[in-house]
Amino acid sequence: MRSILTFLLLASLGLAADVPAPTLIRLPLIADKPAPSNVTVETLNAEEWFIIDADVECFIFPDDKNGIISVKTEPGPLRMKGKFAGGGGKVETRDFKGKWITTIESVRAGTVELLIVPVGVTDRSKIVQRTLAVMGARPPPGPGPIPPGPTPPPQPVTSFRVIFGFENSQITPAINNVMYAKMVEDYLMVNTTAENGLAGFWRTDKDADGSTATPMMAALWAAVKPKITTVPFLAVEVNGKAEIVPFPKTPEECLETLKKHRGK
Amino acid sequence: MPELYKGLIPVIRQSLDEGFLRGAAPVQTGAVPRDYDEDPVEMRDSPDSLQLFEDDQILDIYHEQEKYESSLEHLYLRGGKPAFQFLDQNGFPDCWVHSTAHAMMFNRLAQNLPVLRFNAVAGATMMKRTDGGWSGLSMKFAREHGLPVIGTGPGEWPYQSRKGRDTPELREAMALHKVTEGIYDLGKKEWDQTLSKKQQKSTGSLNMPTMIDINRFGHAMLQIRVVPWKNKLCPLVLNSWDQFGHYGLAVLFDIWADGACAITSTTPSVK
Repeated sequence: MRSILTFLLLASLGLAADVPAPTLIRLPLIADKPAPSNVTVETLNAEEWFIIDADVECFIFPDDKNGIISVKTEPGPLRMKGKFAGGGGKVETRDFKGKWITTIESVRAGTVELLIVPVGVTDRSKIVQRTLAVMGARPPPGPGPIPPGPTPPPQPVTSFRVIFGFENSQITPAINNVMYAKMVEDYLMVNTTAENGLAGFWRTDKDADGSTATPMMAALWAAVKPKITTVPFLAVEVNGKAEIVPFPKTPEECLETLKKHRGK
Repeated sequence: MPELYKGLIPVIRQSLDEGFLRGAAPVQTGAVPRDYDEDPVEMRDSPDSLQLFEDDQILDIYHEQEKYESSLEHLYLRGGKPAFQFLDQNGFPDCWVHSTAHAMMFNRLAQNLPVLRFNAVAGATMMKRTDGGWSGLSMKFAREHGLPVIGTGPGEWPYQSRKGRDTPELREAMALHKVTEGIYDLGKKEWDQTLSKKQQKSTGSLNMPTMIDINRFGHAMLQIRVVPWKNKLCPLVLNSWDQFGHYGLAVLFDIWADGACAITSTTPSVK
């Protein structure tokens, strides 16, 4: 009696020797994989069972009505014969000793996020989470590196417009050199999208009313103006998408920036 | 032998007649000189937000503009030909409106807008001042009403004529072409718009077309740049006389404006 009481006391203090802490929820161990972390992708093929062998009653999410898996919980222990997840497709007989045995079967291909929540849990770490890839469905990518896919071919440039924006009271010789340099103007004259015979660039004070400009330039100005946070600025539109980029410091840098956005 | 800046543009030292490379032609002026008894020169503080430069800085700015071909002179003369046909006031004492009309044309050039030639004679006629005025007055008019375009179509005014029609259609059309920002003191009278020499050098270095009234000539012109000549910084101006200078351009040797104001923005109209 005294030794039993001693054991119980030591156990309550976590000091009992040679008695491993019980695992309350036991999930399939997939062969050749490391012990599952709390968030792991599991595979459930057709005609296989994914068994949750638990000593405590649990809420299982999603429930049986999700359409990808069926979920059935019954009192254990149970002896079951069939194909089990991670079993390589072989028919086996397994004993499940827990008080609650949940059988999950595939219904159709898909991916489900499985949450196993012990009833009355107050510690978040006791909640078990698994991602089930059912019947060949590709699970969402995990946290690891994603191999690069094929590089999409560059889209042809069908429109290219530029706006130089400034504040008149803050104009400087350097800003003027960037905007008016012949090397920059020559490039813009040839490479911007003309409208009504006018090359597609505009040099303007930030407070200008663009409503009387050409239709496309007026539309670009309307899109750009609310995004102005600093002056001077350079707005570049390529294939209908406009962005504001840092104002170049020199005409050479401006030319480089324009070519980078234009693609040549 | 005339002095020629860059081998092309005449330098004026005494008389504007020096600007006629092919002999003097009868011309009109029109700027009303300031009456210094009525309105003596006052000491003024350096005004406003216009950035000012020392002469050595202006020389540096000039050389950078030469390197990048980025001044209003370069914009006007790209490829050796003028970007637009400059205005001729001849026969009308409306130089004080031609200065503003030219300034608006230059600002449009800087914005990369289509060339429009504005009717300065129309402006003077509508202001009912047909015997002279000041650039400050024409700038105020252009700010409040705009200027009409030269032409004989609807909403236009015939060139070098007082016989256009001031109609609601004309007013609606000219309202598309207004001055929206400039260097102009709203607290002073139109005839009292002045910029110090240092300010004139600044606007001339910052690509701000500057209307200048010069009392000794009784004439108004447009300063587009400040250039060095024989160790002096000098205004490079566009005149409104046919056959004058190099496509209207001349250098005034150390001759500065008595009255001046500048344009920095106009409406980005395309017609």
